Amino acid sequence: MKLSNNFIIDAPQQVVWDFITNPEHIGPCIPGCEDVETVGPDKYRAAIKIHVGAIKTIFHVTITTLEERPPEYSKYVTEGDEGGRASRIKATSSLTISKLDEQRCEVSYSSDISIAGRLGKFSAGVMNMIANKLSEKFVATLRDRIQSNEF
Amino acid sequence: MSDLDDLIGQSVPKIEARAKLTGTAVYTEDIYRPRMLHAALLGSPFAHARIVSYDATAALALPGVKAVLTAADVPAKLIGHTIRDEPILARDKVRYIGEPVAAVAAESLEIARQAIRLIDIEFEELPTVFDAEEALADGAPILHEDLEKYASVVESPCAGNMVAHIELETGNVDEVWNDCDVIVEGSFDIPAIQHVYMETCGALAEVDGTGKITIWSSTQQIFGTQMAVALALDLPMSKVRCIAPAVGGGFGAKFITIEPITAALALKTRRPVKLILPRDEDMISMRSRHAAKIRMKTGAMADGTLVARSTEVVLNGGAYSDFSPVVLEASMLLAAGPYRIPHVRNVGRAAYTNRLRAGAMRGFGVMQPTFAGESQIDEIAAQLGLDAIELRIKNAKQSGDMNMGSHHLPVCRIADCLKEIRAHPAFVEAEGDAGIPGKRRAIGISSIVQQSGLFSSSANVRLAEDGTLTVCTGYVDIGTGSDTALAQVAAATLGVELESINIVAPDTDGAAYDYGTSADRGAHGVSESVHRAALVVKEKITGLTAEILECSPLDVEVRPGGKVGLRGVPDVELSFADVAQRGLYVGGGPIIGQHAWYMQEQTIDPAATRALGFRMGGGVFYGFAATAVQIEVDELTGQIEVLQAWHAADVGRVLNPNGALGQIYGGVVQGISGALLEELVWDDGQVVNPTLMDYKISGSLDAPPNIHGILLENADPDSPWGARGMAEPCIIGVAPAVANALASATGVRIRSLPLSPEQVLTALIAHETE
Repeated sequence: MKLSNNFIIDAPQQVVWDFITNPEHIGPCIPGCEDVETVGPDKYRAAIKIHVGAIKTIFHVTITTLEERPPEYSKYVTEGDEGGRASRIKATSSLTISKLDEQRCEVSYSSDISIAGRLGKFSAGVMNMIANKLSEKFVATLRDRIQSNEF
Repeated sequence: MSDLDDLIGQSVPKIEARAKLTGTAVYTEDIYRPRMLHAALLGSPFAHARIVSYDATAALALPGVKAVLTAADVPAKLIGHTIRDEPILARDKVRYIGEPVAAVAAESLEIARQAIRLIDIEFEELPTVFDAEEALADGAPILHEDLEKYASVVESPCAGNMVAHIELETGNVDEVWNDCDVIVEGSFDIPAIQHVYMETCGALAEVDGTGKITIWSSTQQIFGTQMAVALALDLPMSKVRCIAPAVGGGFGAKFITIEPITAALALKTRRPVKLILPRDEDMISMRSRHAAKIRMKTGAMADGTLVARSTEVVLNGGAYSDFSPVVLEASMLLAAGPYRIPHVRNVGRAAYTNRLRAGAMRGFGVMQPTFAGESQIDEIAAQLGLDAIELRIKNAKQSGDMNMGSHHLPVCRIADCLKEIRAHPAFVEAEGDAGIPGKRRAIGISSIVQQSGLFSSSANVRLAEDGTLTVCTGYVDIGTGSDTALAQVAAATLGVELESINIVAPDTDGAAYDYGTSADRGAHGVSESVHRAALVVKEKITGLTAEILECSPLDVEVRPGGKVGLRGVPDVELSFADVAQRGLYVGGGPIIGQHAWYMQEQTIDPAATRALGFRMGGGVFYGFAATAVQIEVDELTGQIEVLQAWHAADVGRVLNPNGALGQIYGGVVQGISGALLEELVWDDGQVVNPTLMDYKISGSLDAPPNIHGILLENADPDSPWGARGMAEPCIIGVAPAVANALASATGVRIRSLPLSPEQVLTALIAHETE
């Protein structure tokens, strides 16, 4: 499953970069994200609640940064599973923050997500829809928080 | 033949129709046993990984859980139809997402499914390969490191990820291309699809006090299942009994499914265990039809005479060999179609990949090359400005010809099938475009050849003391109507009413041996067993009657309605019951007839056909047919609708017309479904559409209102009643006929399936902007 999005934020590039690369700031923007924890210089751990139809579950994921070029580019991999390995997720994502002017920048990100197991079998239909919805929610919260200086 | 032989050719209703319609037919899921447990499976979340460790502590601690089973709990045995490469639960390695890794038996299904999630397995990921050609390339991750050590019953070479490599060649293909006036060449892509039988795979196993396991399961093959369970669990076959209750379809997939796992759970818990797969697990972990990539080149003279064809087939076999080598043999045997082509070369390879295993499916390896071959016949006709049907008739094989592999074709009426369709009034009327704005209409056609008959069969017919007859074969009626047709054959042979025939439910403890429901074996092969066993009964009845009447057996005649009498003396008459009782209680013994045989074997003449890795020792009868469709394409949406269809089948002699037409209706609709809608979609090894919500198949609203079935009778001299297999060809020609109709309607030639609106629309737009 591939997911990509881009959006414009009314904030300086460095501010957006600092916000997005800080797990304590970005965590609350991710719908369902709980317990973000830094476990190493390039490694974070998070628990993310997901709700697909009748299935309500928590994914325990580890996010590892693969490449970073502050304040404009980051590539990271997210890996994890539900307890009992009923489903497994692996996503490689990249994020680019382009400066438009001093007070504005464009954020674009793309993810190549593979989900296996009981949630994976919904990938073709409902998961895609849910992922897009979560993505929209994420952008709205992120923009809101940065623009209102809520951090 | 007796006067009642007109039972052959009568549309008697299916014996079990009422039970199925009223919901009283008993399927595996309907069976309950005292103290029965319910089972669930844990499928692999990885497409390719090493199993490092298991921890079932939490699952076992859950109240109600009676057993957790992994490869560590069962004998280290491998099973498989061709190459024995498959453990019943993944051992050391997993090779596709959904592969059963662990099983749980518990007091309820809910507990079993909850326990599955508590099993912790540590995996170590391995590199994956999903595409067949990539799997065959150097450096691809190897799925079966021990391939060369596996036991195998096939002769095709295998190495690395190559499950099979087969070649057949006649003439000198390379030397004749320059002589051809027209050559068409193309690559064709056929996706994996699923069988979508109405009843998902399921089994119930129970161990008795002597340690013998009885298994009821949704299967096409009781003896093969018995063998697989015995082999997997290291038991003698005498300790395994397999029974097929009512079976809700199979289409080739139900040859050993989850019976060994269910039996292992029953052995471990010493309680009956039932395992029924939910639809999504069934679609992820059972079988698919082979995805195929085909490169084909066909050459002809300006007058339409076919000169040469070269075909390369690569089949995606998935993680285990299953039937792949035999499916590939069928592709190789019939890639040239039912035509007289002097120069033919067929090269095929099948590959292991980290996907669901591919197995047998209706159309067995022939649907794929027929899509390519029949598309090219139309391309040649278009390039030469010839009529597509006329071109086929001109090149059609005739009775007495040989097929690739130097197989003899005693009867071949492919040209008649094409002519019958062409002359059908609805066909004549349907030709041409209707002139509706935004819609294009056209007709497309395909020839079909398929082989039938396989391995061994036998039957046992016994006369009961009331004069009725018990017929026992071990052949499973999976919804095809075979029980009814076999009852007709037995009744007609002995001149009794159909009601006098008891067809015994398949049970390895009592049935005569039969290989199983596959390859259109029923109408010709198994019916021959029944006919010959019934003839033995007839002979014994005659002999005993002669003793009773103190006359020569030559003076005894079998009379319609289960009677025997003295020839020329109508008053001297006994009933079958009189004769049976005489045998049982006075002398002569029970009247029982048996027949056992290996279906006709055809061999390859090396002087005529060069062969590599080709075995096909199973009986080979050939079935011929033609399918035509009239389609309407919506130019705005790219959607294709099949308005009507024709299928002419060279059936030899029809046993039950409604039964035969039912096969045509079902096969054509299944063919339309595959042509327009079906495709299993994988994302990184995960099947992402394993539900009937996301995997659309043709329903009654998608079926054309008119499917014209044409049954051509011309008794097959090799068959006792003249009947031939006819169910598999019904599905094979639909996709090429639709693709040909699309090309005719729009000028767009599409070489991959399904012909979905997206694909058609994209091609239409590209065509218009060219």
